[in-house]
Amino acid sequence: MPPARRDTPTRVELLQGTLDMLILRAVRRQPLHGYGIAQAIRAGSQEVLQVETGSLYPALHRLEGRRLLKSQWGATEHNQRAKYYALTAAGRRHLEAEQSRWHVMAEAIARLLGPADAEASS
Amino acid sequence: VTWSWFGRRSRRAELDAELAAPLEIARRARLDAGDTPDAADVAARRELGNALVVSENTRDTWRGALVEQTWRDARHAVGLLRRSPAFTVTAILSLAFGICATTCAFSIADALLLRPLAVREPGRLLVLTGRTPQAAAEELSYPDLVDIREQCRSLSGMAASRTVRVAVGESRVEAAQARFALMVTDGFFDVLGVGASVGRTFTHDETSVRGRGAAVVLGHAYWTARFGSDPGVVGRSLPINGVPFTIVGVAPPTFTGLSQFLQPAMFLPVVMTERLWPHPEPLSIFDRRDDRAFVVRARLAPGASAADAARDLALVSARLRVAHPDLHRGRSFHLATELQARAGEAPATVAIAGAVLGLAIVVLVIACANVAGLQLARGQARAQEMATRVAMGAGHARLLRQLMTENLVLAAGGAVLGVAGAFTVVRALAALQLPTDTPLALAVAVDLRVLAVALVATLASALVFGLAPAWRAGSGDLATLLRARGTPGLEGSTRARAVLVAGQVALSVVLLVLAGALVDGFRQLASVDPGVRARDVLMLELDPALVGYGPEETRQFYRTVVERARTLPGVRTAALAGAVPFRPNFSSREVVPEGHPLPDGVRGVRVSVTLADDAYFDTMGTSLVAGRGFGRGDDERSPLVAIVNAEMARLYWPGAGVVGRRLRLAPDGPFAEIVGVARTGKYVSLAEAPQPHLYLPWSQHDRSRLTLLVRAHGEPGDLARPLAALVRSIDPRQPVFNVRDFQTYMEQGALGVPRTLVRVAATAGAAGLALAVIGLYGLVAFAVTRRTAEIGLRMAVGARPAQVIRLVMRQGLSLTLAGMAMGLVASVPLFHSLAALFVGVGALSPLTLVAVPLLLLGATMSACLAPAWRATRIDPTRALRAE
Repeated sequence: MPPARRDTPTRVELLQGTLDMLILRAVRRQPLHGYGIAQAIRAGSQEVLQVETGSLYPALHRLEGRRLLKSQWGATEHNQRAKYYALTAAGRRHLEAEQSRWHVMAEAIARLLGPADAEASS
Repeated sequence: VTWSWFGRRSRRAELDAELAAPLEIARRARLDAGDTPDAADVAARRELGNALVVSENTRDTWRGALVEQTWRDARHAVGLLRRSPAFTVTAILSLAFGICATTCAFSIADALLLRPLAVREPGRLLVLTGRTPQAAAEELSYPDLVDIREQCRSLSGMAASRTVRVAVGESRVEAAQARFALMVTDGFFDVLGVGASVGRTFTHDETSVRGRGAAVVLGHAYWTARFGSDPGVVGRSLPINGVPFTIVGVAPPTFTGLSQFLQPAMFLPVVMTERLWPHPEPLSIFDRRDDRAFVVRARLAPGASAADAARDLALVSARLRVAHPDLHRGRSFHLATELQARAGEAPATVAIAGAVLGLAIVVLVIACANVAGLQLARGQARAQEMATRVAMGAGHARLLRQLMTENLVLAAGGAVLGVAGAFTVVRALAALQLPTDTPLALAVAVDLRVLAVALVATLASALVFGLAPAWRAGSGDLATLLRARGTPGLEGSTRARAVLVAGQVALSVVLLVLAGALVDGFRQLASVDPGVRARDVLMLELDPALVGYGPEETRQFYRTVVERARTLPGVRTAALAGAVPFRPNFSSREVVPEGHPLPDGVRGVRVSVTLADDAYFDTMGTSLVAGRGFGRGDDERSPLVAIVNAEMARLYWPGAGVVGRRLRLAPDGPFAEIVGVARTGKYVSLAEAPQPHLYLPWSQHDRSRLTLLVRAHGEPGDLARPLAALVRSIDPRQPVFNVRDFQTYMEQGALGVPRTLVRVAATAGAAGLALAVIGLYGLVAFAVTRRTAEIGLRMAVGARPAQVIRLVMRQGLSLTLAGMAMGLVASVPLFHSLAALFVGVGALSPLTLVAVPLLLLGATMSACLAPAWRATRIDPTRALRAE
């Protein structure tokens, strides 16, 4: 087997567990196929967050296995067949819970780092 | 299975389609952005990465992925193992040795001790015995049973039985055969929860009214052997002691009675006792409180605990002590589990079971050490493979799991071979027969329980031999692994292997020393003088009570038999005996030696007794050291006489002339005069210390079952037929059993068990040695391969072959010596604890301590020779170029 690609150091690696939340968020308004989800996350984060295909598809299947996502085959605007993922009711609840958890954590970390550090890093 | 695999396959196809889609989408996007088709293609591929890896990782998230991965790993492992057949064969054979030994040992221990009775809820069925200061467990009398049944609410029922010998007329043409039967009480089968496999068990009517239920339930093995498993026997009549019984059913094959040693041919209602033995004693067994012959299993009532039952029983025995103070003083009832009762009954079986299991586990450990050593060596060779896998993103846990799968594949191979071997060995063991007509219940067999143990042994060994090497292989740092080109951790790992090999050598030394000591002890045992001359003697047993003879008829019958036997051509002498040595069926008697002071409360001394006739001492070659033997004049009308052995004379009449002294034959019994002193021989075991023994004339004591001993001029076996014909000419109904060459009987009876023990130990020792030699060979051969370049260099600068051989041998020799020293140090205390467990193990002879190391040295040195010789054939130029 050929060697797996290594991440380039300039890109920000996703925190453990955040990928699931980002995927759920990406499909909260309309169903998307896997590539579309990756694009949505990249565009939404202004190119900072890059989702590897090698993590994306296992994550999609895991979320589907946990019944947070449902999938259906459909056609793209170029009329190509692709598998579309949509949020289930359980997925929506999970996303809300995860988001509020994330906000609490993000605020806490911001407080910990404090204004001095924030200035230093800017 | 097919369906789900099919489902998996279609799901995989769907995944492939799903992963192909983004490639197209991305390419299209690139094209739209203005790339050339080629550039778009490359960019899309780069963006999406390795579809194979993505596909595999995604599939790992599916349910059942573990199964699929394991299956994949297993197939991969089989492929790898097939590519290194030498390793695979060695490892599998080693494991097969260990697993076979463990499986066999467990099946022996199971048959001897562990296997529970095949009854309903065996855990709630307890063994109920009497307990006195003298005896930890004794049987109960019928009146005891009645009292307990009436007063003990915490027991829902009792299954009591006594073992008897009956004469069964199986066909019209043959004489009756002597068989063991279990006389069972009312509700026996119901309390146990054992149903019939054909027909039915007893009805309440058959087992509760005296003399009514002439019904018999056959044992399964007996039914198979005598009636060819014919279900049509139910309803047929079977004459037992001349009384026609109706066969009502057959017991299931799993239920072979209540003893793990004696298997009854049939079950009879105890209420038929008086019809089977019509010669009335003053009191029947149903009324005699001192006739304690019932083996009892008691079932706890629903909700009651063993402690409740013990409390109830204490009350019953307290009442009995008041009602019958003479019979119940110091006597209580005792409950034990089946396992406790078995262990208490025969502590030797616990020791044997433990020793056999221990030896087997040592062999298994050596085998595991062997495979672990081989794995370490392979781990070194596979370092690169592992490094590549780590580089490809396999996690540590994933690698470990893959290696463990490989180990399991190996262990499974060993298990299949080992269990197959165990089947063969166990079949051979089951064929071992003790020298009696007694059908043994001791069913050494490979059953589900044994297979479960084999499985546990397999898994445990896979874990033991595999985990350390797997951990090693998985923990290597990636960069070092890749850079070092296949030699990382080599030194540490070789050291680990060296320790393993030295440990193996040490364990084999222990095994061999034990085996050697046992062989020694066995040789000493075989040279012990048994006190009887066994050559040219034929023995056969008779029991006229089986066909309803009373005491007077019995005496007359035996007189006729002996007289006629003495006139048979080829017969030198013929004698009657109540028992023969080396079968523990001596009756014992409480006697009172006159003039010997006894401690307070002790009414007599217990000694074993042989009933003998006037020709006994002559026929058996037991010499008399004083006085005379029994004469024809010592009969039922003459004064009581006795002969003691020299040990008994020394114990109770020290320093005085014994002939002419007297002893009481029971605490309140009549006096008998001592007329002679016989030389002390061996009675129960060749290893026993001198025992007191008493001889009484058979004509003065009623006993129905006697052994006829005939000393022949020629081959004793030739007399078997004429003697049987002689008995039949006196009474054709009379069964003749246990017809044997006395010499063979004695060898089997006195030496059979120790011989088996010696064989088991010797086999374990040989297996251990073989495994250690394989381990050492593997290590040295590996070292030679590793040092090819070095050896080549040495030879290039002029080292001679002898020097090269010495170089290689030195490593093997130092390991052997280290292991040997450890082994010798460990085996001495081990030996002493073994000697404490078994009588007749003998002493640790210096010869063993010299012979074992020499044997080991020879074996290990020859194991090193092959690789050493190969080292001398190394071509220096090629070896150096390869570097």
